[in-house]
Amino acid sequence: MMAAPAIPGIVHVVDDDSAFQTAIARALTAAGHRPRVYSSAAEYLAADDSEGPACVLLDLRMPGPSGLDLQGALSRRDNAHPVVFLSGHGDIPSTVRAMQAGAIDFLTKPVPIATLLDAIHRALERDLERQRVLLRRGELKERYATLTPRERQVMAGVIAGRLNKQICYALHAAERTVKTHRARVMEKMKVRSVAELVRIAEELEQAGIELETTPL
Amino acid sequence: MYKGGGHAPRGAGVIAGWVAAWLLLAGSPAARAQPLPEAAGAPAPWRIVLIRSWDALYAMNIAREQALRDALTEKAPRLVEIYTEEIDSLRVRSGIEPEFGALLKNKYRDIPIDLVIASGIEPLDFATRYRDDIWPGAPIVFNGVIDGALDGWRRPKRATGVTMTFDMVGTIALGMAVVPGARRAYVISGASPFDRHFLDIALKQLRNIDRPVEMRYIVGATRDETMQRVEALDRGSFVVYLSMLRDGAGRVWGPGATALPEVVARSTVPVVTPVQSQWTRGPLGGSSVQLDAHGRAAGLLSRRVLEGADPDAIEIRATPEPVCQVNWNALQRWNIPERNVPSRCEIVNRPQVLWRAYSWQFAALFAIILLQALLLWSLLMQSRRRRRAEAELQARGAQLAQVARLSTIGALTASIAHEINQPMGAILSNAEAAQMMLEQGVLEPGTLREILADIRNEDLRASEVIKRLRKLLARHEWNPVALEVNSEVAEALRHVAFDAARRGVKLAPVFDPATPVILADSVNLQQVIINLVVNAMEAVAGAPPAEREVRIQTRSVGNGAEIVVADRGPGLSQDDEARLFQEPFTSKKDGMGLGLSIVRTIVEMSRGTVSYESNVPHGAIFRVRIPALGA
Repeated sequence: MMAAPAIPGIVHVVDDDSAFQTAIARALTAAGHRPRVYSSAAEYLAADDSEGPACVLLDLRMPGPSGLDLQGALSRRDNAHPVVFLSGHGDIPSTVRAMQAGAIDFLTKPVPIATLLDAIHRALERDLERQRVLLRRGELKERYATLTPRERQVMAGVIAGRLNKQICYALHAAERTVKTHRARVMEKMKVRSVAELVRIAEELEQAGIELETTPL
Repeated sequence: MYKGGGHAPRGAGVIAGWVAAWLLLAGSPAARAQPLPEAAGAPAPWRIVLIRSWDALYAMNIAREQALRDALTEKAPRLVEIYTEEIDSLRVRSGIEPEFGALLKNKYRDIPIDLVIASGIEPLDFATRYRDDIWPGAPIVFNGVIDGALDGWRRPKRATGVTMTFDMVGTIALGMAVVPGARRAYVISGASPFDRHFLDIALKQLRNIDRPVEMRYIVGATRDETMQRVEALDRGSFVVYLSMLRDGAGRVWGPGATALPEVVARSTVPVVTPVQSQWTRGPLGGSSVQLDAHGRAAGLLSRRVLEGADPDAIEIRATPEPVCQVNWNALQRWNIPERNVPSRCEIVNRPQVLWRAYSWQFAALFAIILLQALLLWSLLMQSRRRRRAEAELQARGAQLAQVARLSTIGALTASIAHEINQPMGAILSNAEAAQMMLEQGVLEPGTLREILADIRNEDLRASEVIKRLRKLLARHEWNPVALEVNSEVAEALRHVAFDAARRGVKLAPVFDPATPVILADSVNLQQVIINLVVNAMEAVAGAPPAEREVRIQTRSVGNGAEIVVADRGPGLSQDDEARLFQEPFTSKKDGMGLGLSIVRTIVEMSRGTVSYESNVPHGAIFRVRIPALGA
């Protein structure tokens, strides 16, 4: 008896062949996943699929926009699910393009269910990871949002490695004031060391948050 | 004879004629003629007395008199009554002439005669002397008098006529021409007064010969002597036969017993004669008046006089001009080459050598036969060449068919993989789903039934695809059959439909229902279409999506069907155009370049053509034309 998958998730099956849709959905259901089927890229793009963990099982060739076209469109979304390609016939250029654009795997039909489930497992893992990153970024953004403009300036000075004296001079503030701000930054950002603060700042920058810069 | 200034020809005294029938009539009271009743209102007939010499059936008389009578009566405004009399110095004793004259006077007492026609010198002499007594007031028209016989003759009042030329000069010239280097001419003449008269005139003419030839005479001899002479004539001579009404032994040779045929038979040298009526009796020929033409001239002259012309005002002339004629059989008889015959002489009785008689018809016939032969030959060559070309094409076609299949497989790889793998994938997934459900103990019979039905359907679908591909790709004989162009094109497009979809190329078929049925191999025709369409799809790969369209059109043109495959890709450069159908040609970096060569070969095996032209504003148009079935 097959065990329930390590990560059960939603599998979006985009394939124009209805017989294949039905078959793959049956297999995925039996494997413990929740398949959702779409017969074109457009149909999938129109659907709301922010839930997770999820992945997209994508046919390469379909009438209208191809699987690669859909992958391109998804990559411009910040909350897109990982893509596994499943094609009747994959030529080398298509495969290379798909993998470069971040596909989890490029499978060809007929695919043994074990291979498929393995790829889906990796995709769901990636999706969970993605979700975790998204969550933490959201949290950090919220923390940063609680800082006052003055505190953000002090934080910029700290992560730039400036001494308190230098920050006082630059902000035309008393050293005690700076020390107070600095302690509040550490408290609001929930860090205990400057090194930790620097790492969070990097994460925020990676998430595309514009940090206040110090006028030094 | 007839020389000097006598008021009448000298022969007049001895000339008299007698007709037994007239004696009988004259002696019978019942025959006494009453004045002829004239039909009221109708003009009186022309009453004519025609006097001829000797027997009416002498050839000379027959031809001349027939023509004379015809001319006289032809479309005459009045009836023409002709009374004939004969003057026969040959057989009838002289001295009866006064009584004969008196008899005629009595005979014509109540018959008003409008004209006296004298045929021959003796009748003319008689008419000259007796006209005023027997037929007072009637004019005289003569004919049958030899030109030259009237020298010194005193022309009577109200008399005219035509003379005839027995052309000695021309006849001797003919003899000298057919016997090159002839030294002697033997002249044969009889012993009757007419024979002498004729000889006399002939001798007068001979004085005018330009290049004299030695003349020898066989005159007044018996017929046997004459024959002996002509049997022993020396080479380099010829015979001139004049006449022999009576021979030296006093025998008269009548119309049925003329001596000439025997002379011809016996003579070792050519025999010529200036008398046209003798030409049918075997001599080589001669130069003579045409007797029928002469008779006709006399008849027409008579008509003029009857219609009121003044005979005294009409000049006496030799009519018509003599003609020269040669008998082809006689040329053979004396072994004379035709080239010796003077050009003015007509050769008659030439056997009807068909190609000579109908030379231009024969020329045309031969030309036609020749043309037909040439045509047949060229058709034969053409057909042989075509058969050889077809055999070559078939052989080449068989080789290329294999390459064509490979080429088609290449073009369809993606489609084949997709079409097979799609159902295979569904089958596998279904099977594995069922297996998992079974292991989980959740497999309901209804679900299993659904799964099995799906597996079955997908299996059928896969085998259907394989069947279709096998038909397209399997090795098979070139098998031309009658094909519906539209359905062939439609099936070919089904093969590439998937490929088109993945490339984002729209296939736009336009089918003309009037497209004729063609004779072609179905699989190969489909391969042609697939090749052209795949080429076109590749050509538009880089085009903006709106222009990624391949137009496929069928239609009826001229005597066949046309399949047009058009795209709006970049088209071909002029250099490429020139090399287009040669192999290998490709504008693709990974193409084998065999596609178009195969297309052309296959189309040509169906007696068709494939051509390229540029699309507007850019792109390629390929036209495949195949003759309709039976075209």
